[in-house]
Amino acid sequence: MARPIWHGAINFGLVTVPVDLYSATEDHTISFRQFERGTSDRIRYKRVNERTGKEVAYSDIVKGAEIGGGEYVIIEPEELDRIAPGRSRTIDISSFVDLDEIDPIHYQKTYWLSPSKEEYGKAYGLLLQAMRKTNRAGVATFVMRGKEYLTAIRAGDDDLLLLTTLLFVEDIRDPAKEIKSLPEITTARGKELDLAISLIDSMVDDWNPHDYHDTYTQRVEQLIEDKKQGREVVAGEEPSSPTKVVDLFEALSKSVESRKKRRSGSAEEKVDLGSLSKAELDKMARELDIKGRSKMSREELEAAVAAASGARRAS
Amino acid sequence: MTCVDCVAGVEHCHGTLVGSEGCTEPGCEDLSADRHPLVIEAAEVDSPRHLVATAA
Repeated sequence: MARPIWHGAINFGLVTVPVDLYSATEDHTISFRQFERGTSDRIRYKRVNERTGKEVAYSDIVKGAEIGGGEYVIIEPEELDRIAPGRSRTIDISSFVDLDEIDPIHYQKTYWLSPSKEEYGKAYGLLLQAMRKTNRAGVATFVMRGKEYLTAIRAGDDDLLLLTTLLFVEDIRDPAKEIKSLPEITTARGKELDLAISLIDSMVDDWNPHDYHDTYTQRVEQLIEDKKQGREVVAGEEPSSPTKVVDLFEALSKSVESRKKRRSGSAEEKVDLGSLSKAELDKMARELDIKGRSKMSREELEAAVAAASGARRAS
Repeated sequence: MTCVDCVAGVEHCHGTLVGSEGCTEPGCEDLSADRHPLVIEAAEVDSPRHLVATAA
């Protein structure tokens, strides 16, 4: 069981609900260790006092802010708490907004909020149901580890409130200051634009996160396994070359044609359901509108897809 | 000095997170910034003031 990353309370009008905050996401990328090349010596970071060269323990480290001329002011955690009393203990909902109004550029990381004790479940449930019914997200701020977070709180599918941290406007860079040459958008030619739209239309699909997997990490894992077994490492495909401007129309035409062929081909060919993953079967079940698919095991999905696609072919 | 996070029973690490490179705590597996009260930019490690990287 995970431990909460923060304890506090949600303030919603005059209602206060004590909650615990848990990370809802985790990074699964392979964490490499560092070694000195040619040796089996690990690289380790050590916190040392620059004058004595001795290691410094966590409990003896304080934070300092540079004030110029190589001078620092030391700030104790209690001093940070004192300038905003209570802010590090409460999540204050100031307004409710439509989630679609928030530009995804602001999204950072998502957490679960759960009532810190069973007795707070009633108020928590009330807030969750009211948010679900109105389809609104509460905009709130709170302080965690000496940093203020802007957040959007919404009702999740698992009867839990979700808190997503958002970037403040001042955290978002101005592209005009950062990008060497901003693209000059000229009006697209009619036929090219029509073809590009056709290509997009031919690739329209429902958003299903199960369709997407971190294949790069899978390749890294394979590389590690191959090296462990002393096998030859096979190089991946080279990236495709950029399309020349004169070939744009032709490239678009071929892409649309290829998508059309793929679609008609996939409709005709008989799929070996036994070779498909649960995610692939789930996608087919969705396309066949099979009810209760989200609760089915892989085997149940395979049987339901086989039955539904057989019935569809017969009709 | 007593650690307030230990007292509060919240998830945290006593190491210093070095950008996305690693953590000074040898057993630290989760490099999320939100569980590290002490974070330092990786670029600052080049400066001899705060941290040293050594071959163990």
